[in-house]
Amino acid sequence: MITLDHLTKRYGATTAVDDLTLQIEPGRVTGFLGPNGAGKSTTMRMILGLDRPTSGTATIDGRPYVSLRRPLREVGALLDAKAVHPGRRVRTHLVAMARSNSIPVARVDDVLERVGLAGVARRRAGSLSLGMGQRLGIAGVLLGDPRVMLFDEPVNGLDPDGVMWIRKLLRSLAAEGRTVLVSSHLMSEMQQTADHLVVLGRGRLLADCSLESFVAGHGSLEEAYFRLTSGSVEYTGTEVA
Amino acid sequence: MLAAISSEWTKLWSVRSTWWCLIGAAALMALYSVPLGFDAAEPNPELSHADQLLHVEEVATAGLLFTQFALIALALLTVTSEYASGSMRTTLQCEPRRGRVLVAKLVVVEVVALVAGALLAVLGAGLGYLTAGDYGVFDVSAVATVAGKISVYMGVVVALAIGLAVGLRSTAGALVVAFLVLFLLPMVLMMSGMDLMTDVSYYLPGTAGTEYLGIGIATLFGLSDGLPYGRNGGLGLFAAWSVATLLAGYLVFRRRDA
Repeated sequence: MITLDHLTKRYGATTAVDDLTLQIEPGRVTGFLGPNGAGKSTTMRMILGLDRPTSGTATIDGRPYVSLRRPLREVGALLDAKAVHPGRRVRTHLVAMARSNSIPVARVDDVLERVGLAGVARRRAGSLSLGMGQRLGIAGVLLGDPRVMLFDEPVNGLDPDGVMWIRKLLRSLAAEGRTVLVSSHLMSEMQQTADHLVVLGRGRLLADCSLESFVAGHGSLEEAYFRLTSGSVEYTGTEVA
Repeated sequence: MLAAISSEWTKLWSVRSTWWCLIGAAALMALYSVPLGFDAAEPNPELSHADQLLHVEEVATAGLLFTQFALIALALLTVTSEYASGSMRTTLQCEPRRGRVLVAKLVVVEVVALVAGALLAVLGAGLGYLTAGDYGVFDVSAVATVAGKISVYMGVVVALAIGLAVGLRSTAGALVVAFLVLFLLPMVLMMSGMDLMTDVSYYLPGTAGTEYLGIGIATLFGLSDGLPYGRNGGLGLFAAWSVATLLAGYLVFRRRDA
């Protein structure tokens, strides 16, 4: 379980995350939605101790990430598929991660198999396509068999088979009783994957409810989402005449 | 802690830049020592045989002035390449205690610097000896002493480099600052001819560190008599610069968002 308690992050005059208090429960897929700049990624980085909150706390089962001794065994996170040294081989990247948390190296080959990268284990990470990079990031999440998992836009760059694979993977991970938080901009995909939704707009919590009650009264998740976030979109293009 | 060090060790040897830096260091040492040896091999009728002898441990020391930058690059890249690629976030997910990340990186880089420093010294001396013909003097104990000192020098200089790297995050920025404080700035200040500038130059890491080796930047300008410290004092000052830079780097690393 992830607990955010009055979590706030300011950069100068801008408030990226504004007094967020909520719990992300185990055993279900929680979809993390919101327009660009809503604060989803910043929230995830604060959960992982990468960014320091201006005020408030983010804890995992009651403990801040920085106090975890072998964090990969408790929390797995895919933030950016390109957060890999491009010159390092796929397998070695995971071996270095495994060593840092005293995870048996044999586990690396298991997760490579599971994400479908066993055939490219010797390739340099920089030579992977975006979709394969996402799979490598997911391998990193699975590596320590953690109870809590965060995925920031995991379906970006995946082919249709990959998208379906991820959907099934996320559902099965939640069914195993794990805490699964997934951000995405693809509403139709979220509608098929998430059980619960957390929606942010301009750093504030707009909704924290089940998918069912969120969509109720609207035709689709997409429609309900547009209705809710219409006042919170920061970056808009001009409409085509 | 061992887990973090083991992870850094794996990372260090699994990128090509580490190997290129080591090959570059060896090549720079060779480029410096071989011409020096051939130069010494040419008999000069105006000098006695004894005056023309090339004590090859000095070749190694002199070659270090340039060779060090290859090892500095190796050290910097363990940090700056992670910022450039975004993989620092992966590193901090694996070990969120930043002090430990820094110590683990420092340990693996120190091992490489201490060993490579000694080997480079032997390489420089050996190539000098092989090319100097009848004029080369290879005194094993003198070469061993210099190899030890160069090893220590490299150990100190890579710590300085890591401090700069975590403070500045950018490869180019950190390399430029290292080049300035270790090489260019001491020379420019000494060339200025102004007393104040010269005094300042005495306290820069480049002046102090090379003074420890015996063939210092101050020696090149005939100023070594003016230095307010001796060889061991030079090492002390050099090490103090490294420790201060590392601490400053750590404070930045600890505070800033990754």
